[in-house]
Amino acid sequence: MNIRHRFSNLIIISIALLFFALAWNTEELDGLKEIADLNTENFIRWLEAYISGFPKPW
Amino acid sequence: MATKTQTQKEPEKKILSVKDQGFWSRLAHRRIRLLRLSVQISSFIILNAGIFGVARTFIPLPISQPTGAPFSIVWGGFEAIEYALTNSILPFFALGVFMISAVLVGRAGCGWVCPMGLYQRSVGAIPTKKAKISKPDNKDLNGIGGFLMALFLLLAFGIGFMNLTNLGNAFIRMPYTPFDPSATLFGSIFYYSKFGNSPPGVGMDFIGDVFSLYTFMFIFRIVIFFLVTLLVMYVPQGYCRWFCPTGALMGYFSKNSILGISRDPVRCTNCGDCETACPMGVPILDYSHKKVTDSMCTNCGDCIDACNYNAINFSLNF
Ligand code: SF4
Ligand code: SF4
Ligand code: SF4
Repeated sequence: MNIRHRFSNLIIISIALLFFALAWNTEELDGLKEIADLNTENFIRWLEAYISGFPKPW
Repeated sequence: MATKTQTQKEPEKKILSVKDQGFWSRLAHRRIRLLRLSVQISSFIILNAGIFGVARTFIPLPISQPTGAPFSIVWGGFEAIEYALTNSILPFFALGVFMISAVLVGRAGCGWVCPMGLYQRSVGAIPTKKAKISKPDNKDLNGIGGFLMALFLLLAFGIGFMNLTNLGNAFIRMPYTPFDPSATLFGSIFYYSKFGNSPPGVGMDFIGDVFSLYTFMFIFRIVIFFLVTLLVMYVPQGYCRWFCPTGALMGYFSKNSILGISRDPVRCTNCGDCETACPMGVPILDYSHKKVTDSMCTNCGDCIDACNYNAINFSLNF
């Protein structure tokens, strides 16, 4: 591992940390959370539909 | 005379060479492979913990775990990037996850966690005559993944731009997903087998009941999935090597990762067993003994198991 590699790793990590900081102020996290919740809801709905047989999913 | 014969024996090699030396030695030569298999299976269960009622999280991981898989609790990293871009948001968080993990552990997510990696490993275990791919061809074909990654990110960016400027409203949010064999295997097949061509909440069956767009897309996905399966039967980890955009993106940041593979130049006999065992076809001996700086290396450790001289191992490179 020479100094150039260490330096490039350091730059990548700094940029990644900067990205995390920037993500805090964008809607990216909200969007990811929203879809995660939606998917959970969808899945529960599908599961219920599957269990109850209504609306007939199969 | 007797002394000379003794010195010719090269005791170190004899002791370390454990090939054909019984059960425990053979087990020792599979220790990392077995450990990796158990980690892969446990990860698969944890990633799909939705089946035990665990709610989904917003966390993107740098692996090919389809976000839409019925029980998935995480985001596939590449899908998260596409999703943000098509919604006209710059994907800082997901990119940051890729960069940090690539620098710290390289592509270990590919080798140890990714469910598509596990699938390819299982299919690769089918005893077929594996194709011989030359090192330059392997490297060249590896470029396809990078090309696909750039193409689909550009497409996602274009869709996001269109949405932002009201040029149009493209409804596709993750353009690579229909081509992604992982999404087909862990998502589409489940949904299609349960709900046929009218899944509740999808609303794409506008052509008719008999042969809807949804059915067409399903057949399209199955064809790609079938081709990929055929490929990985003959080329170990063929999809990871040449096509996966997630792996390609990781490869850009992982070359000088802190966790890596290095050789002991004193013990190594340049026998090439490690290269033969490498599922990604990494030309290990072409790299400096200090670290295998190949964008394809997934830190899987199969090369460590294959070495008869204990000459190659994981290393931390600060
Ligand atoms: S390269 Fe292979 S192991 Fe890595 S994310 Fe892609 S499919 Fe998974
Ligand atoms: S590191 Fe590879 S080439 Fe060197 S002795 Fe071990 S298997 Fe052979
Ligand atoms: S070089 Fe070793 S750790 Fe890297 S992919 Fe090949 S076998 Fe796995």
